[in-house]
Amino acid sequence: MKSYWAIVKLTFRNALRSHIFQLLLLLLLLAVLVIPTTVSGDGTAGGFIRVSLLYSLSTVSTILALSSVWLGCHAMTQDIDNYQIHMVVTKPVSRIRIWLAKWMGVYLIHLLLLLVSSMTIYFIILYKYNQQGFPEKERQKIRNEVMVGRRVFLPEKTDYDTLSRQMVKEKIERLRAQGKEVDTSPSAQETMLKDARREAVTRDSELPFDYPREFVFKGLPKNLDKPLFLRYRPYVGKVASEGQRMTRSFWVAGVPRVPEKKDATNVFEQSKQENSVEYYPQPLSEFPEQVMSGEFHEKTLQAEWKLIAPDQSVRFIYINKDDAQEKQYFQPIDGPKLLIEVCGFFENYMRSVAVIALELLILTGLGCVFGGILTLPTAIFVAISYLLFGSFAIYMSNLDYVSGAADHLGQSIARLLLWIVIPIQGFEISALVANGEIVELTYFWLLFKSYFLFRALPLFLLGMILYRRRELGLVIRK
Amino acid sequence: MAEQREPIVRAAGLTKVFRDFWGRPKAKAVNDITFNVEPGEVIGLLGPNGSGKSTTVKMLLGLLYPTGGMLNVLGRSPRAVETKREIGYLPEESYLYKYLTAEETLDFFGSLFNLSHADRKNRIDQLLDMVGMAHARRRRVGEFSKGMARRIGLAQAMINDPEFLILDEPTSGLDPLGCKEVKDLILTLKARGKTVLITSHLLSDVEDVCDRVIILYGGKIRAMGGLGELLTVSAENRIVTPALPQPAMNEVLRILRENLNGEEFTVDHPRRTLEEFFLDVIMKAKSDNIETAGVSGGGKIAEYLSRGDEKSAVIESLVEEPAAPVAPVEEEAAPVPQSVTEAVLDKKLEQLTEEPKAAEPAPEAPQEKPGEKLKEVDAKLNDILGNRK
Repeated sequence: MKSYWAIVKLTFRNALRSHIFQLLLLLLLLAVLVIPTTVSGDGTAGGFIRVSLLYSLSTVSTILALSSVWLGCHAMTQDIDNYQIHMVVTKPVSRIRIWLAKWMGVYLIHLLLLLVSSMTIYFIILYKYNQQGFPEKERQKIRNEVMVGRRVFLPEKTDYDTLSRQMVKEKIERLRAQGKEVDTSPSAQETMLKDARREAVTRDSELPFDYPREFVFKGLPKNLDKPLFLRYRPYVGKVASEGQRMTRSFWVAGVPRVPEKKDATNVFEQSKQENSVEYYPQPLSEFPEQVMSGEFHEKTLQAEWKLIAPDQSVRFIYINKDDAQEKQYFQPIDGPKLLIEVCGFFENYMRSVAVIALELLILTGLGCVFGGILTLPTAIFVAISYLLFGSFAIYMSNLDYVSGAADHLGQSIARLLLWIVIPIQGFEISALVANGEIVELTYFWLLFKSYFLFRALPLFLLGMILYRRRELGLVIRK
Repeated sequence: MAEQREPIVRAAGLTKVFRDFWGRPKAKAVNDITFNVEPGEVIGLLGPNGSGKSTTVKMLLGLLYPTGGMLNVLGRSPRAVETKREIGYLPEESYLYKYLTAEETLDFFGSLFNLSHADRKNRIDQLLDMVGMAHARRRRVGEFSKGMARRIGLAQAMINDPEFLILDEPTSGLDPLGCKEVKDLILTLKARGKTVLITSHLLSDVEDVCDRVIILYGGKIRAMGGLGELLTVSAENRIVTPALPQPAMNEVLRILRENLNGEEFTVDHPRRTLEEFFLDVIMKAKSDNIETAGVSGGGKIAEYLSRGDEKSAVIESLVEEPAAPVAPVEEEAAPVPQSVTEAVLDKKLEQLTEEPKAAEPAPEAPQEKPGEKLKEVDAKLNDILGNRK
């Protein structure tokens, strides 16, 4: 292992001397020190802390990601181009060990930088929180919404495919009933389906005035002894950051009650009784609340209210009570969401650092794979292309709706590509931490398993094999 | 009967074809060569640029893979990690890490051999002394002149006390003093039974140290054999004597004319080589303790490299700088005996540094101890000097 650590140490030192790395280090320093001290946020205390955290952490992870790809490629190619590798591979060290040591050397320097910069950000955020003199109400809000790790529950998703098909079917029947001719050609059907889907999505996010809309959250823990937080962001008129104003919203919770059992006359009756739950409406405010549209709002639901039904679901009804009787909108990505505090800020923050560390482990390895078999510019080009393919592939494959042969072909290729490429946006968790949402350990495991074990590791093994087989004496020094 | 030792290198029908991106043959750098390198010999690989020397060396080191034929180094594939444990390699240029100091460089390469910290420290001290770089141990390699970097390169090649040393242009970039030290080192290693393969364009260097040479041209072996057999011109004779008085010279010339039947011949005074003269001047300067910012006098072979080697100790005692040097001008009265002295010493050195016979174990109690040999040489010198007087 002496030889292994000697190469790790040498790679570490070599990395420190790279000019591009030094430039990225300077940017990192600026990101860590300047961003938290200069951002203003959305004007609220919570927004200030949230934006500071979001910008700092995402900038640090982006800079380190770029640097890790660059240095991974550089560490491998430089030794080969300068012939210094001849001095190393002619010593009793296997090439696999050289590869692993270089990977480790590049990774360790990034890990060190990540730990130092993330800890600096953490303490700057704490310092800001303690020194800004926020009112206690604001501080409480920050503690509840930002500096915390909360598990997120989303309402049941609408099945737009089924819904849009149903809508098309109904439309055709209606037209036929009216004695109108219906174009049943595939292209016309496709257009109708597309329109119906668009309408379904719009209808799903629309909240007409005084129209009660039910949201059901499932999979909540039984016997919860902590408060629930209901987070939502209503828009008025249209989904846009501009032109928003004060509006009114009214939430009603469904308090579950199991009805008293009557004597069942048969087994079906008995089963029906066991599963039946009645919900009693419990308004969450005395009157419709006045809230600013386009901003997040949270309602705290105490554990004593016992809102979780025996089937571990919670139901709410939202009623648009806008004074001007305009439509309100909920963006699907905004929720509403139901949140439960699971861990403290530090733990959640360290989980996000662990995700970034995993990302860097993969990216440094990726740089080493391509650097070990290609020249520096080609290696960087291929590594960046690989990552871009990953990003586009996940986007294409996640599209809810595609139409036309080209779209279908693109989506099929994207799905195939996802067997080998890694969509790097999966590691972007800064927004989660900034919103006080927990970085789930299951999510970390999923990233580790899907991206590291099943995609990166086979690629690394292939890179090692090719590096081992490579004729290093072929490189001609220019 | 003693056990026959396996050759250090066995190459049979060795071929290397370079191909382009599409796999089409581009150049046949090495074309079906067959040779062995025997244990304990110093072999020179010679040839003009593009003759296939470097390709052959790279194949020996596992940096290139043969396209055809068979290649064994120390009985194994040249790519095997175990093979490399016993190899030392000095490349044509010193591809060292410029930001490491001399000491860190050697420590790094020592670590690649998994040497313990104490071993590394001990060897580094000795090697830096040996290559005359002890005073620059904490200077970065990037600040070194080519010759100084070369010395560090040489030191790293020997950090593992290799069984088989491959030196690519070992004297390139070195001053004559450094060249001499390298050659002394090679002779010492040879005396210890180590095998050395040298490639060089400086044929005089090769001639000084090699037992055998392989001459390559166009990827093929054009000549191979012992230097004696290749270089001896058996059709001519050379007689070296002390300066003869004119009547004696006339008599010699007469005999030669009678026997050569009109063929041309030359009679002149032997000359010292420039290298010999240069080394004398430097020895003198060193004995006067003149300071230098460059390479200080090294040349003392690292203890771990010469351990158990009595012959090299004798060589060192013979070649080491004199404690109280005699100024050349003071020796003007005895120019002829000096050349005779050198001849006798050379003969003795040859005897002392001759390749050990593989079949015979090292003599437990030699008939003549090194000190006795020296006494004998001194006695002969006294005789000669006395006779002249």
